[in-house]
Amino acid sequence: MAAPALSDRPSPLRRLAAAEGDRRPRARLAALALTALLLVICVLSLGVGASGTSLPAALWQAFNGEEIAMRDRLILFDIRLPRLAMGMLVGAALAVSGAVMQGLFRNPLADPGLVGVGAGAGLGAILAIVLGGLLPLALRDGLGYALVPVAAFAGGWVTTVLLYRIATREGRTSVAVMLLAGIALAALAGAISGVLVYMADDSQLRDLTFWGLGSLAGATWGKVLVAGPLIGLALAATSFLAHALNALALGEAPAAHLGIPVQRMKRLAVVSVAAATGAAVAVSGGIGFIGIVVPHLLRLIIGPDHRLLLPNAALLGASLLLVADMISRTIIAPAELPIGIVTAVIGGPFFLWILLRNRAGLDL
Amino acid sequence: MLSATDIYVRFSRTPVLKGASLTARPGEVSVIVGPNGSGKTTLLRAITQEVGFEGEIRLDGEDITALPGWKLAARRAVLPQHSRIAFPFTVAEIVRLGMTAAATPPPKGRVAEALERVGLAGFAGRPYAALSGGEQQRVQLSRVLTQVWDPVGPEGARWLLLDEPVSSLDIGHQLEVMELLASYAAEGGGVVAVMHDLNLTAMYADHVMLMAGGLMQASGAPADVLTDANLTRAYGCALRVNTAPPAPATFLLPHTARPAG
Repeated sequence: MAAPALSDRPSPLRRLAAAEGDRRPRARLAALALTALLLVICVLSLGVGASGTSLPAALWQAFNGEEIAMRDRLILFDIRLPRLAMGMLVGAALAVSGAVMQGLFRNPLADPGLVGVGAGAGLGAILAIVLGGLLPLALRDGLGYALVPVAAFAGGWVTTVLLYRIATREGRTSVAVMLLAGIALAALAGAISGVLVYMADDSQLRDLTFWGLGSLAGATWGKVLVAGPLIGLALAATSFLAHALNALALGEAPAAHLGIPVQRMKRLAVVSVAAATGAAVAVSGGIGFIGIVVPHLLRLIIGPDHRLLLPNAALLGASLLLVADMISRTIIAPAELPIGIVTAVIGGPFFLWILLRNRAGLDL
Repeated sequence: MLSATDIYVRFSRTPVLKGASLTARPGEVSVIVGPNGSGKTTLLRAITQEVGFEGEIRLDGEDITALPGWKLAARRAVLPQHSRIAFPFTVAEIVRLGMTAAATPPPKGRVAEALERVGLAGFAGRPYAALSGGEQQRVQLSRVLTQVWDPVGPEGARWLLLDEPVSSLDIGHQLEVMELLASYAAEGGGVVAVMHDLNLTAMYADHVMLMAGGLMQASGAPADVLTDANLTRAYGCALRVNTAPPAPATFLLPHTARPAG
């Protein structure tokens, strides 16, 4: 998966390949490798599932001009394909949001979950599940199955706006205040969620648990069409942030001295992260650690330049989430393990590993 | 010309600058000296707009608060006292950040050239975090140089604003960096540096500004400002200014540790 290490080559060749200290050629190789990897995983993901429908068999049938069985067509196009699309969207959204947050907070352990966006979205979803029945009937029917995602999205947005208001004084946003306020808001959202969970009946509890652990099982083309444009737009916006995030690594004042419109860039970063994370949480529930694991792995390979990091994070995030989804679908088939459990089992130890490696250098 | 007039800065009601003024001309190395807490760094930070201030700061007659960031970035670069980098960047990547605002892509090899000027040739591929404090300071200087590479641009003189540029360097590199600043000024650029080392100031400054208590106490040619009386009053300890052969170079020695008077 990783590009061949430049440092392994003899030095005249290395000089030819790039100026010293320039990891751009390496990042381009990584992007190619990650694209190939994503394609392979997409094919695998379409072929794997509880039903035993086989992609090669279906393709073979189509190739020979035979009709693909109705059941197989349904499974491939209406279940696995939207699930694949949603997995890629959510994985890319979480990984890129993580990278942007880390750049903004100048901390490799920052994550949208940390600043309360995830908790706010979660609270929105729980409110919808437990108290949705109290809504006026017209509204409830109008939203239908979209009620929970819409509420999650709204919760994420409200938290972000609130955080931003708290942390901004006289036109300047304090990253430290935002981080601390995020912890407070996440705790508050957690407490309210706790009360609601206590109030919930048995079937609601089941919904809550499943949603809280995260899953791509509910993927439909409808959800993809809701989340897709939002996530796409947010990810496109982050491409304007790459330069600014690089400069921000020096600190806010030095970034401003370099001519970066720091306030405007911070605002754009916060809004894109809220949109991408909100949309991702809305359709898939709470899936943790992708936002931390992916950027960290990539920084080890291609370095921290955000112009290279963000697109590669989208690719690797999509791949990683699809792999986690495949594991979640097959490990206890025909039942399904919530994907949040899979990412937590992979991500938790990884997070600890980062902490242990950086123990000396971390001062939050 | 860079001018600051009647600058007031308060940090939570404590006045730090009480009407300090400064004038620096391109083609000269201007050095701000003064004891700890005299407001040197705060004055520089007002000029770089890192702290809110009352008063007026003009660059070639233009109010700097009215200039957009990208325009300012092409005309002045700022070296902070300390730099902590958040992620594992290489030296080359840090230096290249200096060219973030460049309107036209700088020529190939600029990074290597900039590193060579601060005595760090061959350091491009090293991880920044693994360097010593003095090396990091020179990498930052090299980044700052790439931002305003040509001392004179289409809009006029460009400026290096430096907060203690040689504070963590050994004596050899101190001289190397001071020579670099002197040559930048000689080519028409402007240099404003906050310094602690009075001897280096005496050797390299064309214009010295002595601050104490949030005010400019004296300003002018080194020989006029760096006098026994001025320094003893500002620093609160007896200092004697001497000259040494062969060329009459000025140097300072502390006379006694006890306050004068």
